[in-house]
Parts: sequence; structure tokens; C-alpha cells
Amino acid sequence: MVDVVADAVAKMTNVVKMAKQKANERASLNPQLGIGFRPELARFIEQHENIQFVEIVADDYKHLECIPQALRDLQRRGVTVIPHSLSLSVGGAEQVAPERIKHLNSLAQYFDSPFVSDHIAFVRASNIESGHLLPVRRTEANLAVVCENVESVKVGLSVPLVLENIACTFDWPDNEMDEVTFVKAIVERTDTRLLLDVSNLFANSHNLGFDAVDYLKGLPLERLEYVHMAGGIFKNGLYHDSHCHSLKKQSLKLLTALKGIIQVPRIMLERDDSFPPFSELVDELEAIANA
Amino acid sequence: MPEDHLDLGSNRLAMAKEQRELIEALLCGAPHPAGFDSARLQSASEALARKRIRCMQRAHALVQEICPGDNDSILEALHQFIHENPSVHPQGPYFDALAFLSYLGRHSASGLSSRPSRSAYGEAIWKACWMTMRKIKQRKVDAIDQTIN
Repeated sequence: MVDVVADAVAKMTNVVKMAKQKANERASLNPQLGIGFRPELARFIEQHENIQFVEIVADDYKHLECIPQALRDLQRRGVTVIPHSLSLSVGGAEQVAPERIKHLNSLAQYFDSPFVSDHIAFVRASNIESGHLLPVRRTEANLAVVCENVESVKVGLSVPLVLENIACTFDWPDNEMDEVTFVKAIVERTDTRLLLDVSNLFANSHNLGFDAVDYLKGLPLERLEYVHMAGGIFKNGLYHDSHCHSLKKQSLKLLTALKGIIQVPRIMLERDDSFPPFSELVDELEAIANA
Repeated sequence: MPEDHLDLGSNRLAMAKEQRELIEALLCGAPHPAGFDSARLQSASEALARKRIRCMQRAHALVQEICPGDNDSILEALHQFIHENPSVHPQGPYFDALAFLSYLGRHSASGLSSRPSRSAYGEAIWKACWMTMRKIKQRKVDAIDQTIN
């Protein structure tokens, strides 16, 4: 009788162990969920413990004293903070200013971030700060300049650099290669990681007329560090990645396609303006988690 | 062409020229560079202007008050302002908003929902000075703290 009970207990223990193991495996398969930190969203983020990382716009915190208490509290809670820059301009003709790299690195050190990120784009030329991410003409000559800029940034950073594809409504007339070839060449030649903005990819595939799934298949996805998802709006036949409208089903469909190709480590939602009720943000986070 | 056969110096010069032409077309009203889809560049230029005023509206209530929403009627004045001030203010959208308010004060822009009063400008400028003074003071305090520690 004792043996029978012992057997049953052992079996039960095994079942529980296996269930736990399966749950852990499932958890490790699920990507970490994040959101772009904006002061307007601080309360929402504070209330949602399933948010495992936040991305901050590095350019908004020019001095460490500008860092709000809400971010320090999140860090204490164990939420990973990723500094995301808009101003390195690695796609620019000018060399990247050392103080910009130093600033980004100081934020990474302050938050003990696993990496930092910026875009494959230029934001200034001839002393004009556009305040916007602009596409680089995709030629071998420009590719060499971009790679040199990226290398110079990497030297000044104590953490890895992750590079993001941008959204455009127009393209250069005389590119020598397509966008995916250009992005792939940059991240591979400079040994950097990839931040794939799925909504930007949808925007470009719609605006510039290419197959987004082919693009996905052409990317070095083994380098994928995280994914951006954001809403936008169709206007006069073009898709604008506004970050102030709801997520579009086309972007979610593309995310599903990406998840079918590779296990995505982290996904985050970006919302910069026209903040909706918190319930809508919850729905959007659920949608990207379940896509 | 393999990367090591490329002269980075001349590459940067050529790249600087093409990027300057594009940015001037988008922000300064310069002619569109050859080969670009003009309608697309025009649309991008408008999107940049709208993005800039949204940043100003968020940063300064007075901009929101006199140019509410995504208001088409303000676009002409905004484009003129951007042609004269293509760079966003280095100290951020709040100061960009102040520059725009000051521009509107100097020009009789049509399409405003109201003309900002002299006292509203005065208050905005005073606030900007006060914020700058506070930042300088805080940095001095931090520098002293660092020296002590």
C-alpha cells in the first residue's frame, strides 16, 4: 500500500515537473513585451507588470538630472531600459559627433542597458537639423561611409549597437541596391544587431511597392534583437508611420509572418501622441503578443 | 565594388552634396533634385512640417491655443517659418515653439484661431528665461556636489 502511494506521489511529482518545464519552455518562446516610455504613459507602464522593457528616446534626456523618477522606479522593479537615439545620423556624410556617442553610452551605463539603438538614416546635412529620419541613397560608396560611421559609434560604446530600418514615403531615384540588401550589408559588415520595425517595413512595402515577406526572408534575422510595432495612417494613397494612430492589421499580419520564420526575442509598441485610453494600449500589447 | 577600393573622403563629399540638396528641397523650399518623384517629396515636406508643429503644440500651450489640431490653414505660415528656420531648435521643441510664436508675432499670418496677445508672448519669453536660469543653477549645484564627493 505504501509502495502504491509512493508510486502515485512520484508520478504526480513527475507530472508537475513536466508541466512546469513545458510552461518554462512556453515562456521562453514568448517574446518579452515592451513599450516606448513617454511621460504620458508612465502611469500605464507602472500599472502593467507584464511590461518587461521600455525604450527611452535618448535625445530627450540630455542630462542625467532630466531622468524622471518614474523611470528610476521602473529600473528598480527590474524593467530593462533601452536608450534609443534619433540623432547619431550614421547614414550621414558627416562623421558621428563623439559627444553624441558619449551621451548615448552614459545613458546605457546609467540604466545598465544590454544595448542601445539608432537608425539607418541621416538627420542632418549642411548644418540643417531636419528633426526627422531620412533615407540614405543605397550605393556602394554610401554603404562604405555608413559602415565607417557605425564602426566609429561602436568604438565609443560599452554595449552593443542595434540598428533599425526606417519608414519612407519616397525613395532615391538611382539606388544601386534594394533596401534589404543595404540593411543586410550594414549589419553584417559592421557586426551589429538588428532592430526590425515591422510597421516601417509595412510602410515601405506599401509606399515603394515591394514584397514585405521577401524582405523578411532576405534579412539576417539571426541578428534580430527586438521589434518595433507602431500605428499609422493612410493618406492620399501613402501610408504614414505616424506613431499616433492605432496599429494596422497589415503590420500585425507581417509580425505573424516574422514569428513564423524566427523566434522573436522582444517586441515593443510605440505611441508618441494622441494617446488612447489605457484599455486600447492593453489590446494592442495583447495583439502583438498573440500575433 | 569592394569597400577597400572606395575613397571615403570623396565618398563623403559626394554624399554630403546629395544629402544637402535633398534636405534643402524638403525644408528650405529649394528645387527638387533631379529624378525624385516631386509629388512624393512635396508630401514628405508637408509631413515634416506637420510633425514639427505637433511637437511645438505638445511643448507649448500657446501654440496649441492659436494653431489647434492638424490645422491646414496654418501650414502656409509654418512652411515660411521652416524655410527661414529649417533646423529644429537645438534646445528642443519648447524653444522651437517660442521661435515660431515670435515669428508669428512679427508676421501677420492668416488662418490663426486667435492672435496671441503681447502679454502672452511676454509670459512665454519670461518662462523660457526662467527655465534656462534654473538649468544653469542646477548644473552649478551638481558641479559643486561632484567636487565635494
